[in-house]
Amino acid sequence: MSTTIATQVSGAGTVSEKKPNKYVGKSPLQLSILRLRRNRLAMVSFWILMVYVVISIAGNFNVFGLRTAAMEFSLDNRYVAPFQTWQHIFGTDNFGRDVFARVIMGTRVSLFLGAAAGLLMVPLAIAIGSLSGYYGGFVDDIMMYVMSVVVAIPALLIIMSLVQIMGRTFFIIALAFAVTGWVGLARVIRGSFMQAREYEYVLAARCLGAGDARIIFKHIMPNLFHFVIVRFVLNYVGVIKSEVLLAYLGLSVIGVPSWGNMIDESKLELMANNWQNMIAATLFMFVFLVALNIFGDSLRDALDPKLKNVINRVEN
Amino acid sequence: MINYIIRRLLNLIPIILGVAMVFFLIFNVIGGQEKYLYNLLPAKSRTAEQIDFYRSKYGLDRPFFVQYFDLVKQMVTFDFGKSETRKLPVSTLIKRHVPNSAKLTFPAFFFEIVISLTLASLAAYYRGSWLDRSLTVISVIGMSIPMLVLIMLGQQFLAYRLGLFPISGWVRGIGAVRYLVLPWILWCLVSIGYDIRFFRTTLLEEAHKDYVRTAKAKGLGSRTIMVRHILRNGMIPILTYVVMEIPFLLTGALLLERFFSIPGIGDLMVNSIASYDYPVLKATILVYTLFFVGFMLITDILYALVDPRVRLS
Repeated sequence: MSTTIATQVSGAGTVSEKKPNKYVGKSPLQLSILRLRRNRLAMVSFWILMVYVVISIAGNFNVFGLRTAAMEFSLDNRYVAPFQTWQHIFGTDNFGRDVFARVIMGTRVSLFLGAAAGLLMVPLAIAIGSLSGYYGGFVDDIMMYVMSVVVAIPALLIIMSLVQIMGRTFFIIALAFAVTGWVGLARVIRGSFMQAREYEYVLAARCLGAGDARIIFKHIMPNLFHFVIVRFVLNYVGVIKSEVLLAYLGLSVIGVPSWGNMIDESKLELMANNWQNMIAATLFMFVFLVALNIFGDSLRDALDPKLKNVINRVEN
Repeated sequence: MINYIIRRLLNLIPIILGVAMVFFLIFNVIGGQEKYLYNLLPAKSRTAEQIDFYRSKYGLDRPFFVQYFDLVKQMVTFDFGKSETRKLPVSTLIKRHVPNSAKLTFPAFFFEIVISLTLASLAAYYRGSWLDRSLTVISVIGMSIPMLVLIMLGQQFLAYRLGLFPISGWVRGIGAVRYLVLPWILWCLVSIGYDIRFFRTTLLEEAHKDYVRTAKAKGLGSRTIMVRHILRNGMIPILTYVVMEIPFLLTGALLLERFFSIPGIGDLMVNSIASYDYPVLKATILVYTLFFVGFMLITDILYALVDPRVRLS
């Protein structure tokens, strides 16, 4: 409030005497973003991630003929060594396809797979976690039972069987990751809902006549959002690493280059000293995962609502 | 205490029924069994009678309700019939492969936990030193390189280029250790990153608690506090984490078994996926699941032994 008045006054022509405090009148989300922006390492990793996003979006279109270079066989150019020509900066693979183009295209598959799996997983986890935590009782018992069953079977085995049976398409793989990945987040949300439903603010909202849906989504859920984002990031890391494993088992997305497919193809090329496929894919994945890990950690620190007061005290 | 154990064991029954339901959904409803069946019969020459014969042999012509209980019966008696591609009973195959997996898994798991716990407590004790910082860097690197790459590089350099270890192979009996050393080392490299990071955080969290300040105020040396107080109290979250990690370790074992041709359960499983051998696939998944559930049960019982409050809830 005070900030808006101050700007209005200064806008009218008078000089405001006190420098306005930049933390007053900000929503918690804006404060988190401020905190995040002051963390230099986090910002560096954020921009690295943005570069990857741009690369993966560009992979959808045939920018600079990359898609053609990644898919087209040219058997005269097998195993061109890296850094020899500008045309094949990372060299070529067994079928004469450009490794650089393939690694760019692979970025697209891995990034979209992680995002799709996360976007399918989060609503499922929120629905199940909030219902079972908020209502408790019979609903909770059933949900807990489902969770303990899903957890009992190692996730990768379910994913492998599902993909094997339903086919190696992008959507099926994302779905398989989502079906097995929701339990962790749902547990966290359930626990927090069980605590939150006893708090005074929920009671107050109920006294004002708020319905269950309003309390769940407008009052409790915003407090848990940092869990969702952090889990999303962790899930992302897990999906990208598991994709390599699926590729080794011959169960990754069919017909397009992905990081996993490239690493899998390279296993026979190493004997003949052809490292370009493996090193390119591993390097791209390594940079991405390090950036994602660092950014996820800083995001967790920045989004935690309990830290809000600390920063205010320091800045004032 | 015995009461508690019995209660926990009874809890397993609904879990097993639920696992059977998941198997049922995957293999019978979504259609794994049908796919298996069509894969058995060559597409060109199969006749309607043959399909009917196999459908009734595997019980696919019966109602879903009956199929589900068939599956439960198979799981309880561990009788998954005969593998059509290997011409052997599934239980024989499992019996033959499980000990080899155990030879790979248990020593590696043990070494890895001991090493990473030691390093993590050193890192927590000498916090901020060069040791701590280099361990952090190592664990970040270890976490960001996929397992497959580490295994491939390890086999390529240590076994193929330098010839320190045999590339792959297997013999019966004690001689197999020769072939197991490199997989054990690689196992440690793969999982040490996560473990050091988690153990260090847990120990540091413990180190900030009030009882540590009390111990310090009493005049205990910092080494005594680390060993007798922090490590002991940190064991509970560490134990939970180690058990929760087991399914991920299983996938690691699967890759190692493939690369070093160890005839274990993971090897069997990958082969059964490639050849659509669903009876074997089901049995291997069940073995993994039982292994995992069994470990969870053991930790729960250990908790109850350590902490009497658990028993009452």
